Amino acid sequence: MDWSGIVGYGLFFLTYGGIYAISALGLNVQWGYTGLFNIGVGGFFLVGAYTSAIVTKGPDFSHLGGFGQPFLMGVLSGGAMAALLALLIGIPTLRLRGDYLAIATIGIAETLRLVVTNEQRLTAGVWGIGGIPKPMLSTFGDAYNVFYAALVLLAMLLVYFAIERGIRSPWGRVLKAIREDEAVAQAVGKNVFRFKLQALVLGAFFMGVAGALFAHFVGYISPEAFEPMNATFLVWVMLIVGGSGNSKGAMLGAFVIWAIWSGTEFVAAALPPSFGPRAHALRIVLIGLLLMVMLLVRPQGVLGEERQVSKLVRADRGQRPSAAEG
Amino acid sequence: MAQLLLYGVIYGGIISLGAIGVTLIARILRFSHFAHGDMMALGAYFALFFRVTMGLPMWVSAVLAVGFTAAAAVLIDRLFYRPLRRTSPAILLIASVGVALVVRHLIQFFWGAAVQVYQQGVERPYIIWGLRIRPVQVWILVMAVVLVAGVWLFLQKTRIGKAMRAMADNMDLAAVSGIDTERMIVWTWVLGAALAAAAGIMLGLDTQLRPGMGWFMLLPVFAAAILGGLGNPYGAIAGGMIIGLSQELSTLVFNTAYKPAVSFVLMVLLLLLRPQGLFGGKV
Amino acid sequence: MALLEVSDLRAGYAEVDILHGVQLAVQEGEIVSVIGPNGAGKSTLMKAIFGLVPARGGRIVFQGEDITGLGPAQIVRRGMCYVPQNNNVFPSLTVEENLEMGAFIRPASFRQKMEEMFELFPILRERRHQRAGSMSGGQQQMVAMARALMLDPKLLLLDEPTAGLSPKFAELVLEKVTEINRLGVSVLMIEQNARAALAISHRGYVLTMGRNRLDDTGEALLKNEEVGRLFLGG
Repeated sequence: MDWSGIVGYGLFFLTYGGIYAISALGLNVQWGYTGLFNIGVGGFFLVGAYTSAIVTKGPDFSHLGGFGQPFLMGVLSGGAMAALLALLIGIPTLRLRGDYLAIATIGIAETLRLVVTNEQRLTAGVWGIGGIPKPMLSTFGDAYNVFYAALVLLAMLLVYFAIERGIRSPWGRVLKAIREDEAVAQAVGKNVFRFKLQALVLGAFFMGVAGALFAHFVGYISPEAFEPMNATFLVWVMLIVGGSGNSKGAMLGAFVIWAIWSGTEFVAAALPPSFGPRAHALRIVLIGLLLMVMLLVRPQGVLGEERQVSKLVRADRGQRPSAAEG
Repeated sequence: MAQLLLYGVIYGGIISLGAIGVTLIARILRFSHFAHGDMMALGAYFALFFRVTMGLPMWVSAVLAVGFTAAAAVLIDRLFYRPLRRTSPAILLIASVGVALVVRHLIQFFWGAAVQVYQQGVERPYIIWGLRIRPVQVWILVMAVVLVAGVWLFLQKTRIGKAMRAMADNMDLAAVSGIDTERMIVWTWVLGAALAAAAGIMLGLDTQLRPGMGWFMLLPVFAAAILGGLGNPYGAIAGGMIIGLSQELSTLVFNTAYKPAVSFVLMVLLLLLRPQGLFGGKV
Repeated sequence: MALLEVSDLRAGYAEVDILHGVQLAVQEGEIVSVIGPNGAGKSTLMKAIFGLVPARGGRIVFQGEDITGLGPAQIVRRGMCYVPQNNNVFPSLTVEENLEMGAFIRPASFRQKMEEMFELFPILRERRHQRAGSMSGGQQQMVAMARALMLDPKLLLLDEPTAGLSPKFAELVLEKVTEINRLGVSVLMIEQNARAALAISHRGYVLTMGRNRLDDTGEALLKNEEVGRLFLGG
């Protein structure tokens, strides 16, 4: 048995799984807890990746850069840029129906991909940015993958605990109340818009961080890597399957779906090469069908929602109907 | 400049046909159908099958494709959307994203990822009044006008069309009047999908077919529907023309690669200034 | 046998019951009004009869048939039609189209019934091609009633027909109700304007807090002191 190969693959699996988990945790804050429709996850992920790459690399004539900042700085700036983007897109759209946010986020993700592809002076366009520094490479040498996997998992846990703290605070309860029944939350005097914006921005920050971690892991990014399937849809399926409204669910879903996605890749790789794109398509059909089945059979996901909603909200809803009477 | 206007009208016509479907589905079925772009793609690829694989003439292929796409939409509704009708519009939207994903990649599975065309060879354009227009584009313009007129006639003059407008106006009152809402929902899918298929075929005729063509159209189609006022089929037509013209005219100022971003920017501007759309619809 | 007989009806929304066992009957040829304070359950009662709100207990019998649990689509086919209080026309459709929708399940009778409606509501004939949404409240109420009458119902349910109307129009509407009744349509009506409603009703029910309080002939209720104090002040 090729143990080193298996271990190597296992680390790779954990790293990617962890990166996706962070993205899923971010989406959970936006959708799971607050009910915000972000179908542009890939956009925030992309911004995080590119920002971190640009910020940490040395000078390179093919793209904007030369800041040579340390890794941590890169990751945080990646998150910050994504958060800023979320702020910009949230301000016009959060006061409106959820569907409008959905289409706006699709738009923003597509526009970002266009910008990154076309503004070559900034991002080297389709050629992508390579040579993204791997932090502490010399320190860990051969065991680097172990280090990076541990780093990502640590980051994931940090994000998880930060979110758990946040969601159990009064701030978090308001978010849940907003998702349950916005009208009631508004009536109770909460500035719904501000809370939604905060949730959107926070979730985006985490997606940006995930993107940055991704960039430093693979060392080379190009617009192709942020194709919506991988960067957006997989994350949504992960959250829906794992359990929206549940941070543990987000992480569980991430690893489970990643396992299925990678697993099917093995099967596809075993097929004759002419099958290539068709096998890829079939894998996606499978994931899509998994999503549909989940929605039909168990929309709350494997773990379901955390039991968190204030009893106040439930009692309120019992009272409301009398107002509808004439 | 006039050339751009012409392209804008052609493209606008295609978008309008997609937007009418989206807007009716939004009003009558109460959710944003994010798989609509991929219905357009499905229509285009069905036509490809009939035209290239079966060797049928283009117009026969188109008619068959429209029929098959409509049937597919009704089937998808029965399988995926109807069981979810009692849940929230949010769940339905996610479901439609899932359907879009599946349809798009089934297309890729059966037809492959490479670009395809209905017929090989480049057509020589006509020159009319100094404007270049390819024969196929003439057809597209004519068909777009015919279809839009057809939709207008259908909605204004037929009993089912009126019932559709009635349901779009006031769903509850329609039920109270005895209108069979489930049957009307089927009709809405048929109409929406048929128009989407036609639009997809036109797009394929005008340019080419790629599996991603549908998802690519989602943004302009929705932007057009929102511009016209979500739920207003006539507004959708106007919205489609505005989007089409703006996208083409934008190339005067911006890099053509940014054309898709134009519909996005317009939509965000509209949502900021007048969220109910130019011609009114539900906010 | 009464045309409509409601016994021990329980209904509500979510976890709350609004009606706690209501009785009501409408004899053929009658106009019956239901009056009472806001929140008494009058609207819920009508919606429950028409199947818009599920009945949680009790029975609704119409023309000898138990229709408890049936939905509006089925009830409409059995000869009962309903005019909601608000949003009771299709605003972007013309008057004629509104009527056509009323006759949707019996398209063959549309033309003829429409003529009859124009006889009954001459003002609608003048404006047959006008968009219903652009008409005044009173005119819309006419359209709404005409729409409901297109199927020749034996029983017409009216939810606050004079709500929001000027006194002149309110009077006109109630006159029309009387006229409709004379043509053979029984009417069950909810009205805030209790005095005017009782004046044209054969019988009335007073509903408070989801229960029957009182019922008597229209005349008697008008003269009733308690009723007068509570509801007829205006």
